[in-house]
Formats: sequence, C-alpha cells, structure tokens
Amino acid sequence: MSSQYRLAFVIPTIIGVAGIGTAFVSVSADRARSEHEAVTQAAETLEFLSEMVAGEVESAFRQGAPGRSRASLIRVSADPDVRHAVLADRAGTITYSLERRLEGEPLENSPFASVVPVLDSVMASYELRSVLSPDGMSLIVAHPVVARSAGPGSAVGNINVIALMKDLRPLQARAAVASRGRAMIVGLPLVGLSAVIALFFHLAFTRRMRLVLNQTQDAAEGRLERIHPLPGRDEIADLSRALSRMAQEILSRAETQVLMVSELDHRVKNTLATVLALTSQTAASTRTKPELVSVLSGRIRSMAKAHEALAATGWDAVDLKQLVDFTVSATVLPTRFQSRGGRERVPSRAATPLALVMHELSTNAVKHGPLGGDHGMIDVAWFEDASDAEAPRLRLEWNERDVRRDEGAGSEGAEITIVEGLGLTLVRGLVEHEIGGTVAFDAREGRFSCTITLPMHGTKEDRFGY
Amino acid sequence: MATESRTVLIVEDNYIVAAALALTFGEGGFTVLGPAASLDDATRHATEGGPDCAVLDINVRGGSTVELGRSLVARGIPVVFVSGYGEIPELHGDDDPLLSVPRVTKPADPFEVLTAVSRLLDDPSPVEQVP
Repeated sequence: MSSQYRLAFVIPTIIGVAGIGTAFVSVSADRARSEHEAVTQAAETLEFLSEMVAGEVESAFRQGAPGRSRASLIRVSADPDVRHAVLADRAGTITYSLERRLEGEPLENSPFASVVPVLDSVMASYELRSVLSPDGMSLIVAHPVVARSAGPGSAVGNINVIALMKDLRPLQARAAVASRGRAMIVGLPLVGLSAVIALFFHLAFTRRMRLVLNQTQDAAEGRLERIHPLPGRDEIADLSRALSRMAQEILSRAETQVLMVSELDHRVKNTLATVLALTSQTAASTRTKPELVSVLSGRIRSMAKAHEALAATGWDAVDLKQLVDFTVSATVLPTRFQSRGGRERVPSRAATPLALVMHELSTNAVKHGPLGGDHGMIDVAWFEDASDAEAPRLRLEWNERDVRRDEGAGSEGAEITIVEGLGLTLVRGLVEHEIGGTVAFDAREGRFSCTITLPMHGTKEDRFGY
Repeated sequence: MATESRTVLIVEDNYIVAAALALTFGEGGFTVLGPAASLDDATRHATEGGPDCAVLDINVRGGSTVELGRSLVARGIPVVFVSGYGEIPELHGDDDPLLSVPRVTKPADPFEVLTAVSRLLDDPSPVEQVP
C-alpha cells in the first residue's frame, strides 16, 4: 500500500518534470544543432575558399615563382566572425566577401574577379605555404621573391602577405560542447528539481503516511504504547493525533478493566471469606437448622443488596439512602420505616458492612422490638455532626417506636434490656472494627435506639474515605 | 514449644473474618492481639504487644502490611500473610526474606491459618532469624 501511495506521487512528478526537461533539452539541442550546422557550413565554405585562393595564389606563384628568398610572416587582420577572407597589401586591404561568394554570385561578377589579376601579379612574387598558428588561425604565408620585383608588378612587390582564414575546427568543437553544455545547463537543474520535488513529496506525504500506516499497524497488533502523534497541522497529523487519542483511550480503558477485574477478584474473595466466617458464626449462635437457614440467608441477602447497589454504580460508591432503604425494606415493610438525611455517598468498602448493620438492626427490631407487632415504626436519620471540627463525623440514628404509645392509646411498654447477641455484636464489630466508627445502643423509656457515628474525611464525594 | 499461651497478632479489617480468626486462635490456645483493622493499630500492637507470631491481611485500612511483616520477620517473629492477592506486592528482589513467608489465600479457612502459624512456631526454619 505504502509504496503504491509513494509511487502515485513520485512517478507523475518525475514524468512531468522529465517531460518539461526533455522539451527544453530538445529545443536547445535544435538550436545548438542549427548553430553547429551553420558553423560547419561556414567552415566548409571557408575551406573551399581558402583552397581556392591558395590554389589560385599557388598557381600564380607556380607560373612565375623563381625560387626562394628570406621568409617573413605578416599577420593580417581577419574579421572575427570568419565571414571574410582577407587579402591585403601594405598600401591597403583588399577584401573578398565570403558571404557574397556563398550567395552563389558568379566569380566574374564578384570583387574577386578584379582581384584575380592583382593576385596573379602579387602571387608571382611570393612563395606561399599554409601554416597553422598556435591559436587556431590558418595562415597562408607568403615569402617575397625579391628578384622578381621589376616590371609592372613592382607596385605590389612590397606585398608581404596574403590570406588568412580561421581554422574553425576548435570553434566547431566548442559549438558542440556548448550545445551539450546548454542541454546540461537546462537538463541538469530540471532533473535536480524533479529530485527535489520527489523528495518534498516523500518527506511531506509519503514518509508521513508511512509513519501513520505503521502506527495503524501498531494499533492493530496491540502495540498501543508506541503510538505518538506526529507533529504538524496537516490532515496527516490530524489523522495521527486521532489515532494516538484512540490508542490512549484504549490503553486507559484496558487499564481500568484490569483494575476492575482485580478489584472484583478481591471483592469476590473477601465476600466468600465473609460468607464462610458468617456461616460458622451463625451456626454457632443459632439453635435449629431452620433458624440457621433463615438468619444466615438474611445476612447473605443483605450482602447481595450491597453488592447490587455497588454494581449499579460501577463499584464506586453508593448513596446512603439507597443503601438504607434497600437493606431495611428486605426485612421491614416500607410503610413501617422512614429514612431521611442529606445526600451522602458511602465508599465501596463501607457499603457491605453498613448493609449488614442495617440488616442486623432490622431483624433485631422484628425479633425483639416493636416491629414484631403491628404498630412498630423505625426512623432512620443521618446528618453531619460537626461538633468536633477536627474530626467531622456522620451521625446515623436508628430509632424504634410503637405508634400506639406515641398516640397515648397503647399500654406503656415494658422496660427492655439490651442483650448483645450475635446480631448486635456484629453491628458493633462492623462499625467499630471495619468502618472505624462508634456505636451506642440505648433503651430508655422502652425504646430501642442505636446511634452510629462514622468518620468523615476527604471530599463530599468520598466522605468515609479510607 | 512451651505450653504457656502464645500471643498472636491478627491484622484483618474484615470484622467477620477477623472475628472468626480470633475465635479459632483463642480456641487453639493463643492470646489474641487485636484483631487490628488498620495499619496504625497493627503497628501499635506489634510494637507494644510483643506478639510471638502474626497473621497479616495485606491490604488493610491505612495501607499495606508488607513493611510491617518485613520488620516482624527481621525481629524473628514468624508471620503468615492472608490475602486475596496471588503474590506479595512490594517485594525487594529475589532474595527478599518475605519470599519464604507462608501465604494463605482468601477465602482462608481459619484452621488452615492456625495450622500454618503453629507449624512456623514449631519449626521456624523457613523464617530467617535475624537478631
């Protein structure tokens, strides 16, 4: 996938740039070729001319050249663009226009025609030969023949030279190099540019897409901790950031899951340990099997209520009123008890013991208190007791009463004695030992009451935080 | 061992489980220190009560009893951990003396715990004696 994606960028880029480059190169090559051809043509023409001139000069020389005398070399100026071949003498310059020659003008009509006789007489006095000078100039060197200076040719007896032409071979080579050079000058930067553009695409898109792809593969294979967002503000960075957020979310959920499973495992073991211990203690404190079953199942049921309330909140904390109502109403008709108090949250660890406490107080009220009759009533109330500012406590009051007595219609209730059987012992132990609170039982005026204080610390959300 | 009553420190914040342990150890002839429900209580009992042995629930109110267990073992007092955790947390490497401390997994039968403690007292070799 990734290499296809990269090719999708790179190939059109290279093709496009190479196309532009080829067009430039071919245009410049055409121009170079035509220049090269022109130069070559000129060179050929010059060569022809020079041969012709040399031939004419030479033939003139042969006709009357008598021998050799001292040689001297005089260089005669030539037009730099080598369009002219030049014949000169000391009195002036005789120019033959190569261009006119090229136009195919007959020799008779050209200035050269008039030169020929002069050449004839001039060349008669000279010995000629061709020399290639160090700077690429092809010179025709004339050696004056002094002995033949008499006669009508005397006027030209002083002419020392002759012709010059430029050797165009170096120029031809330079033109070829220049055309190649121009192609290189245009082509190489374009190839470089295409490489730069390809590199840009690679760095900006392909490489980053590959990184994101790797991250996706990491995500698919569960290596979530390796996913970090790419820098940048483009869509690829957005994609990477989203991927990274997803990975973080999955990681944190997995972590929560592990914690929850571990917490649940712990809770199950604790619950089973509690049930086992409760079974043996209940067995020791009851007399008959039916009583054992009834008491034990009531206790286990109250633990189930606490569990139900906790499960509903994700084992976090439960609402105190919900916990009280849940557990008391399992034993007492809802019309026979009232609960009221502020909104308090019971942390998970205190929920089960508190549920058991409510259950024990309820069964105690049914078994030994007014709830056994038809007119019993239970009031449960809680409020924050801030009398000790250093250690604020939640105060929970459990009050049992007989409605008839409240109305003055019933008989005076007999004074009651509190016997702390296993039920009330459990209440005391659960509150004092397990929650770290206090318990006080009271039976004044024949009314059973229980005052529980629970330590409060931390925030409102976690009042009994351990 | 001597026939005089030995003292066991019980640290367990679950009241019902703690009560069952206390009952079982009482019936087994032990004097019970605690049961302590919090780390503070446990540390106070361990310092002031001079227990002969200790049964420690690892995760109690106020923290973990692992360090308390380590200091008891260092004092030559046999320790049995009771925990819902499979492993003892906070171990100091492979030569941690706590590695040789017996563990009883929750839910633990109190008699099993009593047996483990008695075995340690009769044959304390699994526990390194550090004066």
